Amino acid sequence: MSDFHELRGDYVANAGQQINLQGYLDYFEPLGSALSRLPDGTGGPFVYQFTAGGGRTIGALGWVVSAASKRFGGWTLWGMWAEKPMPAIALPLFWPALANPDRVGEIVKRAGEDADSLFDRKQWRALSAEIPTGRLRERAFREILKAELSHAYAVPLPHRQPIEIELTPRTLDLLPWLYILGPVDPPSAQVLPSRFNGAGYQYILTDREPPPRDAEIPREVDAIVDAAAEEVARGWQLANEFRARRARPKAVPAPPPRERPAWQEEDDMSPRKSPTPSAPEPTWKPLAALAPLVLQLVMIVLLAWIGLNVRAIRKAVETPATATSTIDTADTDDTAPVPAPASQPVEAEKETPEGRLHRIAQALAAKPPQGIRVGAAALDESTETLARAAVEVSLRRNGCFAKTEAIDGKLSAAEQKALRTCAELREERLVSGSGQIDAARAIAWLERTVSPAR
Amino acid sequence: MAKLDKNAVCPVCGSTHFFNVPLGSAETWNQQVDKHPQWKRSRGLPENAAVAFSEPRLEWDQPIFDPMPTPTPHLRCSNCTSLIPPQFVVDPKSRVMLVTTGMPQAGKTTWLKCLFNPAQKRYLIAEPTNQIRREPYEFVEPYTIANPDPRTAVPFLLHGMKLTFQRSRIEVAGIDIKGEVFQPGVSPNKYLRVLDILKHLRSMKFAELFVTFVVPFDPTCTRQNIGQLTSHLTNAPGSRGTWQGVIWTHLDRAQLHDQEALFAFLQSSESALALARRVVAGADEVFDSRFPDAAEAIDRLVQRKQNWTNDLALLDSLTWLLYRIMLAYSALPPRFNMGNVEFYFSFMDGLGSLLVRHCMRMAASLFSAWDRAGCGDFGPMIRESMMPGTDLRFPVLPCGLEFLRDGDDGMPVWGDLLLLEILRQHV
Repeated sequence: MSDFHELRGDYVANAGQQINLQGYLDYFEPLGSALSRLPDGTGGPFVYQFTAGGGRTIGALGWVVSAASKRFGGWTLWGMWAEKPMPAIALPLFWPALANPDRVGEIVKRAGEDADSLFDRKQWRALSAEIPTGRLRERAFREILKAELSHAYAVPLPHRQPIEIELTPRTLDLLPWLYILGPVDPPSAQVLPSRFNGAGYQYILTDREPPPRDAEIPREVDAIVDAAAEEVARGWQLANEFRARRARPKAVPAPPPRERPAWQEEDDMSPRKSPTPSAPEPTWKPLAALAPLVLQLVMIVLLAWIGLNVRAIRKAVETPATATSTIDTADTDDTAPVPAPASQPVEAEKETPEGRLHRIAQALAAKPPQGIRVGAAALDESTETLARAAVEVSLRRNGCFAKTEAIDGKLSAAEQKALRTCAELREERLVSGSGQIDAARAIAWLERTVSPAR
Repeated sequence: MAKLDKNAVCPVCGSTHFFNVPLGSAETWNQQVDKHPQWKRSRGLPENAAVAFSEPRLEWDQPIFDPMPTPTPHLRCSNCTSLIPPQFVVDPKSRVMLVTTGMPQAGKTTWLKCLFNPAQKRYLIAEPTNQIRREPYEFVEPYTIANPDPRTAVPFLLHGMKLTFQRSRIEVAGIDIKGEVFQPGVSPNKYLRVLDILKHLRSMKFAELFVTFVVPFDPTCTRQNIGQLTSHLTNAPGSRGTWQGVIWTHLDRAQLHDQEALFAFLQSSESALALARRVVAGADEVFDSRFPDAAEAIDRLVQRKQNWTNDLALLDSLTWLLYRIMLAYSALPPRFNMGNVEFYFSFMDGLGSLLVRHCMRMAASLFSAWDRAGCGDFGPMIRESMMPGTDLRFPVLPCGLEFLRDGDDGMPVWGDLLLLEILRQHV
């Protein structure tokens, strides 16, 4: 009995959506629904897997199209399924025949015959030689692929949600290459036209050509695509290596080299240092005995010096801080206490306004208030964006808006609605009665909120 | 923000505990629903299956699952986490329940769209008007009112609408049961969950209960009809407040097969024959003072005839006649320079309502005849409601859908009839 079985689904008039994999219609329903608004016959591939009740894992590969002529939201699909995840090589391998419903039998037959090779990763190199690379040899196609791959690789790890790709029916040929060369490890990636929770690629079909991406193409992507055009296995291998490098935890920046005790440095720098490592030990022994005493002395001197410096710095900082607070108070007629600016670190004295905004944005992205998510990529460090971000944080902290919604420096319709009704936000006076954001106050509030001291 | 009635019950699971939730993005909803498996479980859906959406980007806002300490306009059940439209939890004295069900492609969603969205089209009885105001609750979880139904695995949808007419305010709490639930062998779980809802419905209080079976006109008699739920719904709650009826859709598919056979059938009534001749000839003046006589004669003749199975073509022609009369009605209010509502309620002591009532009676007779011919399973219910002395005026609400074929720009012909019935029962 073959591992692969034919998969067929269609909309049957007056009966509803049907699929020949009995009992699993609910799992396939979302694939086709996403194509509702597309013309009849428009659709694309799917690489799909799910674990149903009882722990049975079903893997499916095929093509799904809108059947709008039969019913709005109706769909037709064809392909194959197996009681295990589809081997990653199957999509590029069967790609040329996948869009043709009449060739499903041929695909299933061939997959059945080659089942051992398909499920054995070690044999993929040999199989990959059969993947047609015609389009990959077209320069224009490679450029688009590189741009799309760069965009996909720019999505930060971990990939818990699908990477969105906008395609036209003519550029669907990018998908098998994105799938094997992209940032998600192919065996764990799904390719679907519908939204899903998990790793993989969600493609959105559109009839207009997306504007060309002007993203910088990393040299790794360049190399992967060029290698794949020459030899698929080589490109795939490079992609694997790149994925592995990305997945590796980033090396923590090495702490500055520990200052060696002065005496040791002196020893190193000493012109009297013996050129040979085998210098006679007994010569150094009396000096080594004195070392703890010297160290203590040096430490006392250092502490005294630091104490003097701190005093001088405090004197220098206190004067401007008081001045800022006074300006704020004068600006408002209200007698309510005005939020004092956060105490600045020593360097802040020289900080430019841009630097300050940058610092706040960085702090917000690096350590947002508890339970709040920040879409760091969306924050552009402008005054307006940060002020809006401050309002977003305040809405969430005060329970006026869902904490799970990421901060993006933009006020959605729902947030604006919440902004009008959130009493706490007005108490903090980040927003005026007419709904205008007080940018200076909002940013000062955000600075205090995200400052490490809190 | 709806005031929560102390006896409010979740229609899905029967729980009496609720919590407020905020609006968030549909994408967030989609991620959170996996963390609340009871939402899918209470709908008979597999927990690992995704929810179908017709918009792949999930960019709209909808109530999410985060509990809010402060009141919001959105409420979820604490047990099954279903989003409960406010109409389900308000004072039951002003609330009517509306249960709609029908087989796939019966035209149910199209008809519901007509009910939700204020119509600005011809061929409606009570629209366009500013005397009847409809404010739907925007969310029909997991969709929105603007996009209520991609072909979906979700077996039922809860919706709500506030209806204001003159000084009366009516809260319509609706349960839309999907036709796919009744497909043999699809998922017994979904059918069981629907039965659960009907059970909980019995413990809920309301002013009126409208149970509508949406049945498409099918002259081929090949379609499956929906009779499975009848026994559950006819006997319970089964109080005086229950209205049961059929929305008879797709009447625009009826055809005139043989006009001579039609005239021959009606020849025993001069007024009915004259009416048929006017309609067949395409005359502008379909209605005259003898219209009530003609309609009653057709009703009588249809009921008297036996063995309709051998005369389906004639029955089709009679249904065509009914639909042409319905279309002709829509030309009357403009001719008298008045709005549809005035024509229906007040012009010449409610001339419009009189004409509509006669058409209803004719529709009920024809529906019953089709049923006797083997094309339906609601005949007994309809015949019972047509018995002398029965209060139910509209056992069959006929409806055409032809103006929807090229998209959503049109509204079903007479698709707003139930609105009139709700107003009549409640105001």
